[in-house]
Amino acid sequence: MKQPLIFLFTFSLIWLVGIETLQAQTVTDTVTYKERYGLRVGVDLSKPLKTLLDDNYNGLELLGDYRIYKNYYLAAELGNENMKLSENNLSVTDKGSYIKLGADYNAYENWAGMENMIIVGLRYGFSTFSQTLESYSISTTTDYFGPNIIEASEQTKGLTASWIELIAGVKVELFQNLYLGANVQLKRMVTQTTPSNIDNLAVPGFGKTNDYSQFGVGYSYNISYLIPLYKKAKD
Amino acid sequence: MKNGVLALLGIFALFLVMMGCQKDDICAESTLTTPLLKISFYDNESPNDSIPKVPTNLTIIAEGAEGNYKTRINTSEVSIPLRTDVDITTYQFILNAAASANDATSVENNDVITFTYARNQVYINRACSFKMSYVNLQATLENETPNTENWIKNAIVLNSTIEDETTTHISIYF
Repeated sequence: MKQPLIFLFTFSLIWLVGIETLQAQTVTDTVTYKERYGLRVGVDLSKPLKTLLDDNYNGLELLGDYRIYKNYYLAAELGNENMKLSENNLSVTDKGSYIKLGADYNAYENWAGMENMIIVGLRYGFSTFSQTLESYSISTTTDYFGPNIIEASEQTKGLTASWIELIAGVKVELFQNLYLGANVQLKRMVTQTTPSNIDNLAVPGFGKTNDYSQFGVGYSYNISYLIPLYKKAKD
Repeated sequence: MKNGVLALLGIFALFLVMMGCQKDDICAESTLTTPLLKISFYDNESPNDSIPKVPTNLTIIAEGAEGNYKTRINTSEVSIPLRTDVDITTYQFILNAAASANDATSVENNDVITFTYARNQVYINRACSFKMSYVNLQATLENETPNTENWIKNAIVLNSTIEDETTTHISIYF
């Protein structure tokens, strides 16, 4: 009689311990990795670099994004550019400020703990600027009278332009909270006001315009810092 | 994920294409720039019929320019440039122009016409910059004494606005 009882007791104990162990394992397995949400602020590196290398260019762009939901980020860029364009027969300066507002989608499926991005983004850009016609020549079919080059300094202020921009790029976490990014931008002009006697040859934020289409291109190399605000479990 | 990479590649390819196709840099030869003044020569015997007449060995020289614009041409129509920096251009029309300075066989007749106008600047594109168009064109024949010394009898403005070279702007009767 005694022996079976002892057996039963021992068995139950092992069984209970077993359950305990099993439960402990289940708890460990369901620990979910929490993703970081926050505000990321940065600066475009290409514009200060171009400012140093190119005498006809001055520019700066600040950028930021805020993760709102899963892979979606609100994004914005704020900048100022001063560009002198010297064509063969024409030279103008465009200068002004711009803002670009929109969203980024992260198409990259990160492993736990990684926060890299393959970005597909959309922006609405708006710029206020001035254009100065510096010098130009009158085109003729004959050079019988020699070239007629006119030095002017006709500035038109209060010009505006708006455009839609499609962005593709990457953002990689280099060190804790520090990101390096690169992207290309395809833009389409939506509205613009031009000086009375000439087109806008460039628009701050949009870049060089095209005489034959409404499209433009741009690029950015940027560095940014994430200010983590809260963590949220990944579904 | 896959869609993202595809979209990225697609946009990058488009970017390269756009960068490659900038035809903005060179002003195309076919571009209509500052128009020339088109002159037609007519027979003064029947001014109402406008019968084209060819001046013999006509040389055309502008004041203040280097050399001849046209030398010893034989055509009933000619197009000449107007100055783009001032509102006045003066031309000599030399009939029976000598082939060389020593050529005594042809008797030259030199008539002077002064063209006055107002200029309008028109933007073409970034490669070609601006062109001129002209309005209020007037032509004044310098009278010689006696009048019979002039080989040109009359210069009439047909179109006082010069925007292209499709129509005659000035009719010269001789």
